[in-house]
Amino acid sequence: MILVNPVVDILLISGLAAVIVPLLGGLVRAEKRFLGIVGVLAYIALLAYLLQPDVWGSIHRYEPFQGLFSSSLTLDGFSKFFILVFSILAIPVYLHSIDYMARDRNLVLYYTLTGIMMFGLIGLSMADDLFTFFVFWEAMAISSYVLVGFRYHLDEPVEAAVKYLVMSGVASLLMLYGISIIYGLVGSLRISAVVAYLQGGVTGQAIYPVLLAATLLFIGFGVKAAYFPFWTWLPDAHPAAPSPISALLSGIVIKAGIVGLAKFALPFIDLLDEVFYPILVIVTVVTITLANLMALMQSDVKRLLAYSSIANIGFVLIGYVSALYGAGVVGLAAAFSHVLSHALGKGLAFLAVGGILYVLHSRAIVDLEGFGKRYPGLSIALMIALLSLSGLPPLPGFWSKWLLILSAWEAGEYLIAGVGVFNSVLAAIYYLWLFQRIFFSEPRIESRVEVPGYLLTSLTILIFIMVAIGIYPELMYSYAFEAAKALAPLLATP
Amino acid sequence: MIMESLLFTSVALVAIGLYMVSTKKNLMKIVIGLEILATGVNLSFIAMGYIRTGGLTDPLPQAIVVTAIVLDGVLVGVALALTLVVFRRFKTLDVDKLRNLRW
Repeated sequence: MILVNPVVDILLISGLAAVIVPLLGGLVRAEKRFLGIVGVLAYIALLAYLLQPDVWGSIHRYEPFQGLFSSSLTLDGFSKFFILVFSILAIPVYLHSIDYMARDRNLVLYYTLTGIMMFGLIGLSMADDLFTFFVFWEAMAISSYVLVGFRYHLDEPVEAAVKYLVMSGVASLLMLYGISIIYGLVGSLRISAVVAYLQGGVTGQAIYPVLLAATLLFIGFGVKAAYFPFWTWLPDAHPAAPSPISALLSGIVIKAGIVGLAKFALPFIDLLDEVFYPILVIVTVVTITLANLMALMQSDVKRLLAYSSIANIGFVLIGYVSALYGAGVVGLAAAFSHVLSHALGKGLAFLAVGGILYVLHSRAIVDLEGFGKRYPGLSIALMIALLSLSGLPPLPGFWSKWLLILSAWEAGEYLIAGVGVFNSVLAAIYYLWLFQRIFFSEPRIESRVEVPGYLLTSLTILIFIMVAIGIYPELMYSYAFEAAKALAPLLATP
Repeated sequence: MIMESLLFTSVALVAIGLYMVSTKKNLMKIVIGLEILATGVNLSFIAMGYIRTGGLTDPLPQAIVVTAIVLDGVLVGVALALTLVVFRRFKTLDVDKLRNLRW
């Protein structure tokens, strides 16, 4: 069933999830926490809508304000894949919030902002020109600043939100500056026009503004995706947010930078590969290695997971490097399947840690010792997430890392492939060490709080999806390859 | 002439904004720096539109700048609200005095 146009319908469904909440919030007097159900229903509806044969089967376009904004949105394999990833994580996050946020105030604001953030993410994955992308990007970014500082009666969230806002705000503005230079060069912000301009050959003096624009885009996406050296806000902001929001931030909001990098920056990097090849390789290697070493030293479990998110962004970059320098579509598909497997794994890890916070009120790894004996449900969820993140078969993390390293090897990037293998082992060490302390130590803290039902349901959904992908990796690969094929025309090397 | 001065002003504003954000210690001044940076970026769009058509006739940059001003307004609104919360909690606006704020 298509109402107007699939693009409009998808924006309408996810927009309604944000808009209805304040209206319902005025009507519902008690138990405002159940407003989370609105989000759950909306994203189930969105998934059902997206997987209809006539929506999934073909490419849809929508161009509002013709001539004026030259704004355009496309629903192709790439955006379908990312909308799928975003919606799959949104459902358990909303369910988890019902229990986790039950004791907080301003729940109407919380669900509205979460809805706007998801709306921005879904819109920017469909944006086909840089300015539409920027508008959705800001909708997503500004609501995420407020959500990081949501518990403003505590010290840590306020500080983290200030740091996040200043760094990310500057980055967004620098990105817009880059977009203005691209407009000056091309005269249009459509990605097809930009690619045509770049593939037409840029020579002589014109190379310098193109280089400047590419650098500004690289910085703008880099701060959001948090690769080296722009990651400094992430280890503060992600742990400070409420746990369901940490799951969204680490799982999919940092992937917004990856979406932008893939769709809008890769054509530039492809053209300027003599300049960007060393930068990209250094960024990838340093991001993975340094973030993993920092994660080894953490004593706070949410901070550890935040550093591991940075390391995983480095893994996604491996896919981009190999896509640009030989592997083509396979590299992109590897990067995208890692986006999916990391979103599921890190989402589950943060939601499980949220459950632990709910019953223990402590984030210190020391306090988690022996936790597995008291709360087997939460611990099994955390265990599955950690095993997937450390890349043990047969979970999604293994399949995506395997394809990543394979694609780097095929592209002849032996250094990058070696770094990937080394860091998989390094990451496995700290995940398994955490795992061992949780399950095989004597309990330190006695807790009598029971784990609430919606929270456990949200974990169960994610575990089920992860095991399903682990057993049939074809599910993940086929969608990721479709997404990569949609981007192939942007690259000069097929 | 007008083209060069527009471009030069926008580059200067962006540089001033970046300088303020990276060196100032007072949170209020950092927010002002963000706003100057935003103004420079918007002026750059107008300048680019002028370069392309030799006049202010292209609607695309005008439409973009109007939208970007709204987005900057929202950004600065959130930044000022956070500044207020910081001042109420810590009784200072000095970012060095905040425990975790190291960049």
